[in-house]
Amino acid sequence: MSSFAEGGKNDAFKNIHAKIGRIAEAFEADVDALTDEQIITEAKEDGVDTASLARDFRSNAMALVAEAKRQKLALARQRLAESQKNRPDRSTARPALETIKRRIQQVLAINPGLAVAFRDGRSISDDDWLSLWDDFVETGAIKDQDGLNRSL
Amino acid sequence: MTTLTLQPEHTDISLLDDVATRLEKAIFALTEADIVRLCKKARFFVAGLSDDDVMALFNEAVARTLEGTRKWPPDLPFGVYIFGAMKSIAHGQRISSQAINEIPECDLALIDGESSEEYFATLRGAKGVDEALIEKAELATLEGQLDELKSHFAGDDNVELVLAALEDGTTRRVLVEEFGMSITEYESARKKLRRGADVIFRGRRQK
Repeated sequence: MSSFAEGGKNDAFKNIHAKIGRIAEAFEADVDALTDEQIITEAKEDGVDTASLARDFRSNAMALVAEAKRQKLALARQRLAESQKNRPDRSTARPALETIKRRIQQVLAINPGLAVAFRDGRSISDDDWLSLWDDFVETGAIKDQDGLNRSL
Repeated sequence: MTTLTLQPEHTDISLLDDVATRLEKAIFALTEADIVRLCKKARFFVAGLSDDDVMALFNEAVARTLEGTRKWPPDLPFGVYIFGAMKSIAHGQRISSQAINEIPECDLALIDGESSEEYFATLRGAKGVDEALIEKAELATLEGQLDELKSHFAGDDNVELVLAALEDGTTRRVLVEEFGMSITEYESARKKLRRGADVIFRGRRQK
């Protein structure tokens, strides 16, 4: 008898494991070789309600997929809420409106390409200025700390 | 009942979308025959599984795929992937349950001061007692399966011969050429053996 002190699996275990493995592989291959009709016939001979079995399999697994999607949605909402919570409040971070206008005009003077969507800076509302400021800060065209700390 | 818990820190939402969609399509496409086939094959690697047990194992594999702890390679057919995942999970569960059952036994050996071979093996710094007992329990289970199959077919010479050949990896050609079996006899005995295993290894479905 081989000793368990020998490290690794003992011979009896390896031997029986290999035997069962070969038998299982042979049966699996036989089952794979059966046609769909043959396999259903065999199952029905064994008293299996194949339609009910298949329905239960599919519905249980589909329920798991649906649950994963629900959890995913909740996770996405949670992440969105966290990212919004961590964003600075832009209205308090902005400089004064006059500074905003001056800074934007300076940027447009240096980067004429940005002016295309700006309608030449004429007839825009204060909200448009603020929104444009946020956009420029977001794209990096303006460093918002400059606007707060320096008067340009 | 299989539960699903996505771990926020380990969940890539875009990947989950992809996996969930692939699984949804694959599960929807499973035919009655695919599912029966899966149940039959599963019972050959874990004897005694009922169809409900196989379903639980299948759901566990689906859940782990959704959780991302098991990866389904894009080019691997679903049937092949899920069967492999189920096998691996079943093996892990068997080892784990045997460990839970056997550890108190090794504690007893320590308390009683029995001079079991396993106990002294641990003292010598060899394999742990629990690991040795798990191995023994699995060995007993496997031997039990094989004995049950053999006793079921005791006296049926052809089936006994085919079973012995499968155990040893002896080919059909050898049985035909050296033992005088016809191909029809071989195929018939092999089918009888597999159908017997179907019945012997099959647990009951919960109503």
